Amino acid sequence: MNKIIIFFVILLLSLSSLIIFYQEDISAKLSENLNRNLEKDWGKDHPKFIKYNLKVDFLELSISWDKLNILAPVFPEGHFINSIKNIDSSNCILEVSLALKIKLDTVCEEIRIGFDIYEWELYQNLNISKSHFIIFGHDRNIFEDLYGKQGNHIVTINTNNLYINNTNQGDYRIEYYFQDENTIRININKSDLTIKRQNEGLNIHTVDSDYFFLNSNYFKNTMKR
Amino acid sequence: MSKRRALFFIYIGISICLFGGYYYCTIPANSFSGDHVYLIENTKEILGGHFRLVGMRNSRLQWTFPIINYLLIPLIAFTSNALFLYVSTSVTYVLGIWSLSWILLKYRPFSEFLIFASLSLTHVWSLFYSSFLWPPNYIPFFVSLFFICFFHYLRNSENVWFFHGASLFLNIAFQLHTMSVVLIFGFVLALTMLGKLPRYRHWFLQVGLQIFLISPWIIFHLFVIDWGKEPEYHSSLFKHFFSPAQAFMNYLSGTGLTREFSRYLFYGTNTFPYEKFWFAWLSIGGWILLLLLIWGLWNGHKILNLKDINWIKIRYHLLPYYHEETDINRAYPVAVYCLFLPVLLYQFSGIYMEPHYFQFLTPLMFLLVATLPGQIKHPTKRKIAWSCILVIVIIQGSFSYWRAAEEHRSPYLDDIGYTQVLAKVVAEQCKDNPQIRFVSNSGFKASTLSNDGKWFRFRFDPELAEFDRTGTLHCKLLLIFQNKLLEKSPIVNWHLRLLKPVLKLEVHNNQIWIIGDQ
Repeated sequence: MNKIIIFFVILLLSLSSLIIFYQEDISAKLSENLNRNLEKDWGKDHPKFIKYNLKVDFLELSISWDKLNILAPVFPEGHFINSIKNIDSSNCILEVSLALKIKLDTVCEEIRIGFDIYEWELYQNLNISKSHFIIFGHDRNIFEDLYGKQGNHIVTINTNNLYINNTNQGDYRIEYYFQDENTIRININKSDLTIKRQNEGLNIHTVDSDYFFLNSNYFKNTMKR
Repeated sequence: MSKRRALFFIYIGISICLFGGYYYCTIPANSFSGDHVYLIENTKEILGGHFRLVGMRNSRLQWTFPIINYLLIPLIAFTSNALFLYVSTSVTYVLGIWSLSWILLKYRPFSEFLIFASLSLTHVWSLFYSSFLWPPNYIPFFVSLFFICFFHYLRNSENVWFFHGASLFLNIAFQLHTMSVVLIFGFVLALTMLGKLPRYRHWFLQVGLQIFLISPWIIFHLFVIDWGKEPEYHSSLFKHFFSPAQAFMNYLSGTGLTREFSRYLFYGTNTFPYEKFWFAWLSIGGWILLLLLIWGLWNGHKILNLKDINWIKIRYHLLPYYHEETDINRAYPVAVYCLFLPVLLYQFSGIYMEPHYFQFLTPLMFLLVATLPGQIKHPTKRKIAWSCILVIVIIQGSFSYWRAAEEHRSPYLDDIGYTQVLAKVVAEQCKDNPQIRFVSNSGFKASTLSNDGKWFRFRFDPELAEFDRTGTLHCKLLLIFQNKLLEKSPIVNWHLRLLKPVLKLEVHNNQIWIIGDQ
């Protein structure tokens, strides 16, 4: 038994020494892999990334970039994802804290988000989108992928300048995590909202009111009568 | 009449009442889709003299074995009425359970019979799957027959025909769903560990029989198939590492049936407004059942006594009847343990799994749990085991029978037993053939556009033709939805308030709105 413990202690020490000794090489390799994966064209249903100076620091468990622009994939006309024009971020660092729930803490100098204007129909405090819908055939995978990868994560994003459709909203702190496999809970500057996947579509619940994007079936059968 | 026979007849009486009530409520409330149509049509092809070498394509686009079509021949030669075929699945499940119960009552302690009978009368997924036509739903019947043969072989290994019988039934179970292959591994493991391997000539005979039984499928893939035209098969191996555990827990607990929609089930049960309660309730039962299975496996493992087996000597275990275990009271729990053990292989496979992949566990897991109290010497621990089993029976039984009542009270009108209700309404109210749309909280299902509509029309049109058309209304569209939906979904309410139906009817807690020209 003692021999086994000694073996594992030596193995652990050796691995730690190797990591410290080769940390720069490991970081360089991880940066190369991450850059390569982000540059790859995964198909028209997947987002594309434009980045500049994106680096991984293995010992610090961090990723930094000077510029990272996310271009939303193009779905059928009226699809909710199409309404998001761009998500651009500049001078950011993302730090990973390993705990019971993994924490991804991102600090950015500037984030710019552009999206279309939505049209709503009001029904009993529920704003139903007349202009955009959700396709669960595609989005179910996106949602489940997100949950599968971030189900045990808390993500925080801090930025000094949040631009929404080119208007500076100032200092913003956004935190989100998955409450369950159907619900993302988001805290924006201490005010809560939830995005919940339902059979009928996607419900965005804020303190003041609810917003609803119908699934494509409901949208086609109700909005385009 | 002996006490044993009297007990068995009491059990048959109780189970007729329970099974009868359950199936009366649930069989008509099942969906009907492409798989069922293909099963019927492919079997009719065989009856017409075209002997099929393969069944239909599965969800991974591979060809299945055709055995189910050959098994259905006597039934479909008699009638291709879907409801009758659904009943046949229930009958096979009940016959399998009764036969195995009789063996347990006759040869094993009464406690094992009691536990087995209680679990097979209440387990959520086993009862659900036994209520409609689908290839994997016949697995429990063939696994029961396998067990009966295997049990007799354990008692008397000189009668090697029980070995062949058990192997043949396992082959059928494997052909009905390939995930049952682990039972074959378990069977070989049990025979090896218990020194029950027969003489070599029987090995060769059995391998030959196994190949013969799957030979149509092999011939098709070797000589008939045009690989150039085959679609790319989907493989999920080493891709979904949580999926086997999730599906396994789902199968133990029954939580998947608390959802209204489920992959491969179409409509499940609309448990609104008790969905969260039933999910939590069944989850508790699932964890307790898992603990009992682990406990049962541990006890089986202790009996096996692996200390006497090492890598140098293991080849001797492949010799026929090497150190044969002749005490049935030791051989039986070890056999059940060995059969169950390879199931754990799936947990490391990373393969995508659904609850119906685990149908070969019915009735294996009932047998494993049933052996548990008898093996526990400590009285307090034995009481704990009994209490846990009682809790599982209450939890599973309460949901199974509540679900059955709910399905009866509030079915979907495109379920197999209710399309004629709809046909009657159309015949009595409409002078023309309206489009029929089923509304759920996922959206609208049309009777004409989609595949769903095609399968609906497959049953609905002949049923409508049987009624005299006395209707006077001009019906453009029929909207059909459960009353519950109005309470459940604000979105449905939002849409429906805009409509101006010419007539609103209520049947079986469903709304039928007839929309004319507006």
